[in-house]
Amino acid sequence: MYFSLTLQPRPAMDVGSVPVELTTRPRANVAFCGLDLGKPEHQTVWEAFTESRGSEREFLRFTNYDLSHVFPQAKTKRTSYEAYVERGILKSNWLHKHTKLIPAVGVYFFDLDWDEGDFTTLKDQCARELLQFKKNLSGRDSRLCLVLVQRRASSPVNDNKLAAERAHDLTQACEIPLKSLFVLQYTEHLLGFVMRLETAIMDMAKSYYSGEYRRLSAQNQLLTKGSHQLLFIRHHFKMGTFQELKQDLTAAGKHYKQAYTFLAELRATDPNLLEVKTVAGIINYKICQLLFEQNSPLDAIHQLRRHIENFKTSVGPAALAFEHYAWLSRQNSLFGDLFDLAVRRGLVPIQTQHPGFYYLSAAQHALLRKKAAQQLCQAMTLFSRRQDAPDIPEPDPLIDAGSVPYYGQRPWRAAVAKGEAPDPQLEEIAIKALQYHEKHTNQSNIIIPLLSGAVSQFKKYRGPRHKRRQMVLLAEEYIANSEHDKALSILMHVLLDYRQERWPSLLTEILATALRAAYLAANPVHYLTLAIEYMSAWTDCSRELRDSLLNDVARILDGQIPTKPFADLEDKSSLWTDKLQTALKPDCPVVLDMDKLRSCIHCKAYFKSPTYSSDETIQLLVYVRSELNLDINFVSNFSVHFNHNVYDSQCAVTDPRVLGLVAGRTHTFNFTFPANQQHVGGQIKVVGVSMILGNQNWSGTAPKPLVMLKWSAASLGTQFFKLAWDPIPQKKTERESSFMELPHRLSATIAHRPARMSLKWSLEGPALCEELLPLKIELTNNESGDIGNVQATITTTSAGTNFTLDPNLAADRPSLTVDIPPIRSGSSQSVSVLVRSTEVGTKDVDLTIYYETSLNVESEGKNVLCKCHRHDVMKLSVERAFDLGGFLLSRKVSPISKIRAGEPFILAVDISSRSECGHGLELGECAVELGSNVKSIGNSNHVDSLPGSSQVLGVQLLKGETARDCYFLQADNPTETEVTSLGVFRYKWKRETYQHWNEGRFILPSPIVLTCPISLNLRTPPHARVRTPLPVQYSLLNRSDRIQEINLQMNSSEAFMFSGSKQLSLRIPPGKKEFLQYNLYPLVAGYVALPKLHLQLDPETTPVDLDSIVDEMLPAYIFVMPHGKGAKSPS
Amino acid sequence: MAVALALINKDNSPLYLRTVAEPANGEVAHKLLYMLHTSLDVVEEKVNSSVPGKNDSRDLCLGVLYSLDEYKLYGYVTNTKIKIVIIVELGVAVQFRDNDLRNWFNRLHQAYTEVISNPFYVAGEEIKSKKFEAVVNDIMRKQ
Repeated sequence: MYFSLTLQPRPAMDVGSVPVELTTRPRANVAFCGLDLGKPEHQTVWEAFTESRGSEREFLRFTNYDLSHVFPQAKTKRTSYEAYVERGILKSNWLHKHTKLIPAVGVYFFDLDWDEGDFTTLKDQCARELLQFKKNLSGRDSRLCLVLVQRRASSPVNDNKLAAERAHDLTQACEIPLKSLFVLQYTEHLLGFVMRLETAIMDMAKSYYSGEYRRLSAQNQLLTKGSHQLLFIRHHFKMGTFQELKQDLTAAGKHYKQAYTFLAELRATDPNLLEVKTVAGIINYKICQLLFEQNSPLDAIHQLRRHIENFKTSVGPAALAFEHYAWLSRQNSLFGDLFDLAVRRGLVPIQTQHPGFYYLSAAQHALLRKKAAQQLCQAMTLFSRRQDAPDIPEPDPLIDAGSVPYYGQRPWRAAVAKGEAPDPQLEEIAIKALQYHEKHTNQSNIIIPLLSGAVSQFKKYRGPRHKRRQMVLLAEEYIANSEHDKALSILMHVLLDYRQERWPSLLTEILATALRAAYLAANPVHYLTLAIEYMSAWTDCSRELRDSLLNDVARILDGQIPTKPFADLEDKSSLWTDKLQTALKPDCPVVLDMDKLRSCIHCKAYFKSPTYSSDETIQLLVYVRSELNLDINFVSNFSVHFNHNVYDSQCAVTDPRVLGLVAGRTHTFNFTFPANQQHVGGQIKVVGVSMILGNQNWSGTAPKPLVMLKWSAASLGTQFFKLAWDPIPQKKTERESSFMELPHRLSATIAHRPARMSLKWSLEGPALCEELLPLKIELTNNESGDIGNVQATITTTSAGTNFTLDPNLAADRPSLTVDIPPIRSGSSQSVSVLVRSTEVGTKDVDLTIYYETSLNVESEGKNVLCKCHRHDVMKLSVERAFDLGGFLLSRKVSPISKIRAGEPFILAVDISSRSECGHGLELGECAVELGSNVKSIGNSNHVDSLPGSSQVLGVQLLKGETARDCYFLQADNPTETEVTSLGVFRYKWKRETYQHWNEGRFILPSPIVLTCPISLNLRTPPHARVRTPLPVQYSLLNRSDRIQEINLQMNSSEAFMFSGSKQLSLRIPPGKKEFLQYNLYPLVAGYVALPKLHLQLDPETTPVDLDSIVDEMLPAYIFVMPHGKGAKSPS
Repeated sequence: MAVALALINKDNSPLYLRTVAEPANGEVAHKLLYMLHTSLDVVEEKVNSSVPGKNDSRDLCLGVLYSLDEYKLYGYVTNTKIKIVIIVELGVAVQFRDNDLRNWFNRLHQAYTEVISNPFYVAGEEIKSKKFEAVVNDIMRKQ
């Protein structure tokens, strides 16, 4: 006895596909009852269960039923399989029934609070309804539970006496165990309650499915291996499903694998092959799905490999071969989907293993299916008596296709017992019907999505070439599906890359496909582009086709439609007629970018010389070669484009007699033109070459299109000739050298014409530091004509070197431009500038002379104003002029390093000449700018340092000579720093022969100033005479601001006798002077030491000897003259 | 043994292409050519993503590029980025040792070196050499 089908007939399953129930992971089925979705509370509860079920929630599926809903009734279970006749493997309704219809748990919701007043009535109502619900589920082991929806929060049943009591009553009335009673409090913690309830429901569901599993496994024991092959498969599949519903994936996987093993052992025959394959597909799908779920993708891949391997050769009836390919295609695409899903869940695919490969494989099998279908079904002309669908046979053997009781069975002999022979006549009709259906299936709609899927996968996982390959397949399919424009745009896109990598055979083939697409889409621009490329020598295009393509190009240019490039193409003449009008406009030519093509016409540009001077004629050769077998005579214009477009018009050919391109010959266009004076100093570059195809001067009524072929610098240069395979034949003909060997040069420099001008520098000797040195340059015009607009720019990069024109202005500019009046031919002109350098060394002085002259340039036949320039560098060596030194001298003219405050001293400045300039250097005014603490004291010859008062004024020095300038100075009180800057010495100098005075300055030394308590002085006559009394006077000045106690002692001397105090104690008030008179009587002549004066300060307290001051301030010697002969000795 | 073989220059253009498919069987030849071409995806990936340290003593042999239902593809890259790709039928590949593969690649590399040592060979041109052809024939011969 069979359970009658209560299902709606479903659409027929595609070959090899899996039931929808399997595509998602099964969830334990739970039936809700008693929820009135009209009530807001119940609606909220329902939503809490069903909405936003994240991965953390239990795998449950909820359906809300009315109390009146009756669930499918259970069949009586078999106790023996002895009389069982196997009619199929998997029943097509079973999965739906167990995953969607029969609940594992029935949950009854009832609104009841513990403290409800009318509790007894409500309790009875609840018990009644629950009983009804239970009855609806009769015959099933579905677990049952009661959920009380409570509006008021209450304490747990255990702590609540009333609740405990009433709960007990309720369970008694409903005949359910206490543990099947749940409370759902409709509070803000609803979701928490729901989650806990779900866990409880899940536990119950698991126990239900375990029960079902055990029951089934017990039944499985009843089977015998020999006679129940199909049942074994079915039972294991079912057990697997129950385990999966129980969420035990490992156990489920084992059962599915077991089922697959049994299935693989099954002997498949033509009648049941489809069923076997379908079921194998289903089980394989489950296994792979679970393996991905358990994160073992490699096992899944192996499983698929084995699966495909098992059934690869089981094609089945030859008339239905397409079904086999459809099945293979489906297996791959399903696996691809599973893989993709796993990737989206976090699996990381690799470049050589990702879903794209399976989509590709699916697409390839789909293509095989299409091919098989074309072979098998093309001849299908069906007989029919029906009006609405005249091709369908009657009775339609496929009418029940959507409701076969077993997966994969043929509708016309569904559920037949094993071994029943099929009716050959019915078989034949049915096969024809299947073929008919196949014929009317749009295969492209299957293939295109698969290929698109593969393309996007390969794009994602770094397979650019795979992707392009599949795009080509995709384009081919679009062509098959008459979507020519789409196909063409895809092909034009991939061609860019294929041209880059230059695999000739692949490129040729894709070009041919694209040419087909362009013809079918009637796209004249692409058609011309592709034709020009396809005609090239490197393709394996046949000679006839080449000729016909060339003919087509000519026809399109003539405004006619082209012929079919390939004989098997559909005729698209009418479409072409329309498109030609719109796509090609006669007034603006269509531009084809030849850089991107591997075309049949090649160009090269070559400047004969890398540089042209501005008065020379530029010579440019452009080589053009066509590789076609036929001559081209529709070129109407050939022009070269430069970076300066003024030249463009000079390099254009429009004469049709010259422009015909002869097959296989290199044409040379020779252009000569003068350089434009504006571009002198820059470059002239060829940026492109263009060729206009079509008749430019057509004046007829029907407009004719124009096409411009454009080569940019890139393809005129080297890039094109770096091909792995040379598109140009290597064989040299007798007259011509290989095109490849022709030179190319795309840019040339337009140089200045060399100047005919001589320069003469005149400069006296080495320059001296800080000197304003006149620099004279003589320019001589050697041109044949006069020169004008002469300008000299003198410049230097050395720091500290500057120029000026006027000696009275500061020389502060490192460069200088001088305008020079025009110079007649053969005459000279000189320029003077002054240069000053503050640093010693060799400096480069650059001089550039710009001028214009009128010249007769031969190519232009008229006088052209030509700009020239002459550049020269002069090395200027700079030397130091003087060495200066400053010295301090005491009054005794002995060098000192320290000075005493208030005591006069002498500043001597030595100026020594070092220059070897050949002339003397004349010193001018010198002056000392004294520091604040120093003053000049007028004494003897010295006056205050006023201009003109210098002793060295007008002195001339040669190399090595030194002049000394002296100043008598006095330092005031010592400063805090002890060091006193004496100031700056300024001096003026010039070369004897020059006019300009140069200034120099020298920073004077900064000596230490010491305090001096006592100042000593001795007044003596300039010299003494032997035995003549010599009166001398010592003066002692107290410079300090306290009274000084001094002990004085005059030592005796052998050279003198003297009178005066020999030993004395003195007390000198501040600022006062004490005088001591002595009369010396010299005894010997000569330079004689004076008697030594010995002073001691503060003899009582801390005696300080003043010997050093005495030595410094008092003269130690005096010159004593001998007694003159005859001179009277003073008596 | 091998069913298709390609020598590819550093710009991924072929220097030498050969498939065992008979000329009449354009479809197989075509399929193999595409396979050779698309295998460059994997070659490029392997060449560019060489982990420093791992590939220190650079092994020129890249090993299996990938395997398909019927074929297995092997790759080799010289130091000058000349790539060699060999396609072997899966059935053959099973009884096929790593050493054989290295031996083939080394012989091809040697043959290529000899080709470019020829002063009459213009670098970058398609290889047309009897000696090279002989090595290829030996690798591709049926056993």
